Amino acid sequence: MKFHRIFAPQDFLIAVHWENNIPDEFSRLFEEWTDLDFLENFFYENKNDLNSKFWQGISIEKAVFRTIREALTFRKTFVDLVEIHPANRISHLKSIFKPLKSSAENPSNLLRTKAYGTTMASWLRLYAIKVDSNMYIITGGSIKLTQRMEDRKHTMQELIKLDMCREFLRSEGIFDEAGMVEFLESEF
Amino acid sequence: MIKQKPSEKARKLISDIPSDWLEKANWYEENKSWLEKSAVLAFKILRTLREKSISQMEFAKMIDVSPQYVSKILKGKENLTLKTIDSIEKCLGITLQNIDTPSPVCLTEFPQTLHHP
Repeated sequence: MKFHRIFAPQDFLIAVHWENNIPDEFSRLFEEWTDLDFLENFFYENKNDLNSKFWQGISIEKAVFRTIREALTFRKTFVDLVEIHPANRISHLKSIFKPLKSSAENPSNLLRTKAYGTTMASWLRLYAIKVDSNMYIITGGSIKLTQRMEDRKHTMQELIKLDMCREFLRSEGIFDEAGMVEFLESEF
Repeated sequence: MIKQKPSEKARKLISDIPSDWLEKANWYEENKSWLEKSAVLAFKILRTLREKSISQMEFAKMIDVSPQYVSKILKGKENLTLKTIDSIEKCLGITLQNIDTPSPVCLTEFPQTLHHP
């Protein structure tokens, strides 16, 4: 596990890099969400979920192109963050990342959060640990077609990644932005 | 709370390689128009390969390109040449792009002289 600054040299958004031979999570996800081969295969494997009441039998073709469209607008949300004045950034980050629905969450301590795609009923999710109001660490993301993350292996995996990252931060004594900045600056 | 000093382990965990996501996002925006077309073609090819149970490796052999190039085509991010499109259409028996070519009848009906009488 390594950490990448998404907006280097700024620290407000960081992505986890889980393995050496693949990109950091933020970069990897937007690549996958615009990759036809990945998407066609993903929706073929999960076509039963597309036939659920909620998704009303949307075709694999529509699902693929809808994902690409959503991913592009979702990514634009983050591109636009660069332009936002640092003083207004906290409120923007707060509007993007929402707490995971879980009774076990402690709101003040390395909260597990999710960001939705920007369209109505979007199935795109980014998952992040909120270190502080001005700092989030993206641990992964997924195309979520079911109500609960525990319902599918690929979303369950994202819960595990969130917890692994949180445990790591705790083990390093990182509980807030100052702790993370100290950690990030330790390379110098 | 007294903060701990970052550990040796932690120092090794900070990547010195910047994330390339913004570069990729900008590239996509700049090339969006043809990428959308490439995605449509990739989807048609992927569905045909699945219907005909043709692996990507077999497909690469069929159109005489490397498996790496096939991977790029199927991601929908490759600027395909007409030659490659033609080769794919012939091998898979599908139409990827409708480009009207003049029929032999049209060619024979064209005036045979180069100048107006």
